[in-house]
Amino acid sequence: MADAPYTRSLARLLQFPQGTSILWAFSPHFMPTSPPLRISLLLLLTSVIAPAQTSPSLTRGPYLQLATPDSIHILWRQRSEAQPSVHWGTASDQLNSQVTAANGISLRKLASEGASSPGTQPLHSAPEETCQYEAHLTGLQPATTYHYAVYDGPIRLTPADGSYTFKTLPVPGSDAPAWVWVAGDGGTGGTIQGAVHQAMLNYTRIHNISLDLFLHVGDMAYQSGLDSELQGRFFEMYGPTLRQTVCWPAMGNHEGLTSKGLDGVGPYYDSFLLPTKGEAGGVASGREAYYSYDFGKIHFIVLDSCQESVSKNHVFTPLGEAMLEWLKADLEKATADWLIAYWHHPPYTKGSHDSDTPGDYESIIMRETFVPLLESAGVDLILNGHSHIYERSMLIDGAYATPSVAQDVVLDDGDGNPQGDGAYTKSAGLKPHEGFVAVVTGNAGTGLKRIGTIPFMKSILLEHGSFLFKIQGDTLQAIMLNREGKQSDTFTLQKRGLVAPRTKLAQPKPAPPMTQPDFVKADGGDGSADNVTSKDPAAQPAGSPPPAEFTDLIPRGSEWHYQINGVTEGWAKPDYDDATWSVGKAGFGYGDDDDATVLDLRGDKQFRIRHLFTLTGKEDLTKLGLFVSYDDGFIAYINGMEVARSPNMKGSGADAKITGPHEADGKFLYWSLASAAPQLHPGTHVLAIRGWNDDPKSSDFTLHPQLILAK
Amino acid sequence: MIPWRWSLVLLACAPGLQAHHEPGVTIAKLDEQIQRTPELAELYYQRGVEYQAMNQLDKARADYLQALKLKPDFLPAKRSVAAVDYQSGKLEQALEELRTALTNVPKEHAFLLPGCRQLEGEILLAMQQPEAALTALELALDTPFPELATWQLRAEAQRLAGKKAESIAGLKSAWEKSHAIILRNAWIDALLDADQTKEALPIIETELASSRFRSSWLIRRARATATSNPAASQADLTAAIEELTPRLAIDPPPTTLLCDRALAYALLGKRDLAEADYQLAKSRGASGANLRLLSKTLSR
Repeated sequence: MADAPYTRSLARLLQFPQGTSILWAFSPHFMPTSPPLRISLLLLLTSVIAPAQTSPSLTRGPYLQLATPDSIHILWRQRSEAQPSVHWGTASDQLNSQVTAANGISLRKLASEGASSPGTQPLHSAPEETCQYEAHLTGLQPATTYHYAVYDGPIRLTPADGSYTFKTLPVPGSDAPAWVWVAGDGGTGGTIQGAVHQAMLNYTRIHNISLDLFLHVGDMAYQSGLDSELQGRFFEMYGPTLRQTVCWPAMGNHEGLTSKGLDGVGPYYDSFLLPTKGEAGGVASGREAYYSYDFGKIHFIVLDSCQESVSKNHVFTPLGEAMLEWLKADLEKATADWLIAYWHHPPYTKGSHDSDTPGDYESIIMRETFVPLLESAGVDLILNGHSHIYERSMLIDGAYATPSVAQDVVLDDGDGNPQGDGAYTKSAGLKPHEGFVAVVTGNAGTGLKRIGTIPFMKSILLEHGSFLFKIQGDTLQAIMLNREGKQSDTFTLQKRGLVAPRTKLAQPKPAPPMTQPDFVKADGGDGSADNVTSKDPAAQPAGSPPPAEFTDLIPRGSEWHYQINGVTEGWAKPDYDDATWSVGKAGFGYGDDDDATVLDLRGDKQFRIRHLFTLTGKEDLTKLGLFVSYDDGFIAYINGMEVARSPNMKGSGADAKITGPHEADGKFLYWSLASAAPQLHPGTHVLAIRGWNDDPKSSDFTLHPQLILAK
Repeated sequence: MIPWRWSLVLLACAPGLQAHHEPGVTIAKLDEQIQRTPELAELYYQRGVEYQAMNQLDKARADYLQALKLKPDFLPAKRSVAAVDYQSGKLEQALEELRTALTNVPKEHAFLLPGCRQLEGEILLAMQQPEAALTALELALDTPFPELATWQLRAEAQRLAGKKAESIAGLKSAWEKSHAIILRNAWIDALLDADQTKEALPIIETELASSRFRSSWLIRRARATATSNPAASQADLTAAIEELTPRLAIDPPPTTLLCDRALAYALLGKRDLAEADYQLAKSRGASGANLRLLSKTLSR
């Protein structure tokens, strides 16, 4: 059965028109809030950027997949059947080569809507009447940049703006430099995800970098990897990159809720075309769930660490067993100079997940079973997501213990920075057990959290961002690029000559202590459950000392939009359309005669309110604060990121729950919102709050907020 | 709203449905949900999955049965009851339950059939009924994209049923269909098992020439030449051990390589060393074809 056709609110349409208006996607604060004004501005901007518009009949893409030195795939979706063709050439005005349905374009549809091309699987889920075209371009030259255009009959669907290009892979073993972008756990579709992507685009533009590969380490589409979620939170979000750079993904556990690695069925497998026959290097896996590919002198290995690949008590599932045997066979053949492996669940983390607890058993089994095999083959770099944090290790080997310890696993405890302690060094080629660097980069969009310290980590950052690295010859240079476009971490790994065997350090330098707050604002309030982490209730004061003087941004007794139950995801974000919500004056609730808008909120009802407010840019936002009179609990968000909560709340997103009662007693408690200041810019914002009743049979409920600026 | 089919897929994905949480935490959550909506069969099923993951099979079974009480046609729960009984060693009971479940499968549950048939095949193999297992596994393969393990199980059933040639041919054909290298290697191993070295040796030589790590192919060549050229065979096994040992110089060592070294030791007649590696590999969770071959070699 197909997902329901995409329904987009006007606001969403305004914010993310496909393939255009990136400015809007990343600067929503500057958008006017009144719909007519938004429409006018849309028309104005659209007229300015019209040449960059893709055809409205394209509902996804085009995007690149499965490249080799002499071929590539271009995928796209249309609303109805077409006469598809792709034209390409080495110059934008010389698209002389062509592939059509007759000689290399497959069609995939929902099984209920007709036959797909022979040799292809029908789509598992997609909007009704979707036609997914998969063009296979062959006879290409290695390491060569081509321009391309997608046509429907004589109509060109992609604009001639020079942005539709691809580059074939270099011949395996050749000395081509590689720029690689790695992102993980971004799939909220929110502004932070957009900012992280934009930071990469800015960085590569400023430094004149042409990205060669895009590695995604999973969780690209919260909450369940549905087709509609992949559409908005991955394909539309990363559109400008996906049309120029092949994304080689590893499946996250959220995609794993609707897609199965065992048989390669589900929206994730609909969306990606991955090597199963060793087409791009490595040995044939026979499954898209795990695969390998070569880029020049680099061998990449992608594993599936999700539920099907491992089981508890060290008992493998069939997929896990097959993957391990395949990995062994693949490593036997790997003759590259560099070996890089990635998958979703990190072997070492204390971010939003703890690789030392039995609950994160995928992490443990990957650490105990797959990491040793990779190390025995000389792995250089292991990349993961899942844990919402950036963690980067020292040069390590043999770290399999639970809990993780630093003793006798660190080969080099320096920072890996040539300007600091010096680059990490290994012998040329692939030598077993000379160490690798582990990177957790689950920080591309959702809320961040740190719960502790893996003792051999060198850099632990609660910053949204992504990981970018370059390999040229014998040197790997890597950075963590934060959402503001700054390099927050860097290290270099050099592989030259023969490095003398090193003794593992008995007492390596300590990892960065936990001095930062243990959370960073979430990007949600969108029901993305445990991926939208929040303040630890234990660290949250039960209200700060209130300022003596202040001015109101949202006074007490203001009119708010409110809704009981029936709220969809993204309700706390600025672009959420609350036009159908009711309007009433604060406070809200029943019992105690202290509510202006009396509502029956008994039972297990969900109650949410939203209110817009405007900042001019002249305010001192470190003095932003929130008074709330509440009974029994609440969590408040600004633009979808959590900014305050009552101390009796636990968990976050869909998992948030109240742990005890609280009486309002006519009192307003105060929370400083200074920590939200860096995220707020001149323009219109939304304060959104959800209230909770501790007991469904409770005799009262109150929610009455007041947003202020202290003087 | 998740369409009904997704809810089935979500259920079919278990264990790991609640992959972000320990089973205990998930169970506590499900307890709460069950208290609020005790009429939802899916909740009992999910809790059963978590109990099963924690190896609390009695509780898992009770939850699956409760799910079936509320929703008698709930095939995933029926399959899970059989799986729990199989796991508990109640083979005949498991088989009966599974076969009853498969008598009248609604069309919308048809996509679950290959998995059910594979379980049936596994149970029958455990009951040492390879012919019947073969029938079930053929049905499990009647899907456009069979699991790799199903091909391997079918080969095992064929071998146990005395159909060695079919077993070997089946693996080759499975490799050609799936392109999976592990099936190609299983085919080579099956050829060696059947002493059909003529077909296997050229492939082994090609692999040896193109591999960075050669140990698994040295061991295969040693198996192929054990009778015709014992000295060369022993030299290959020694070379394999020399290559494997530095790769295993870590605690705990990679299990799949440990199985290889154990096999090399066993073929060299160094039984104590082989047994030590075998036991360590087993304790570290090694499983699958490697361990089966090793176990067979050690039992000779």
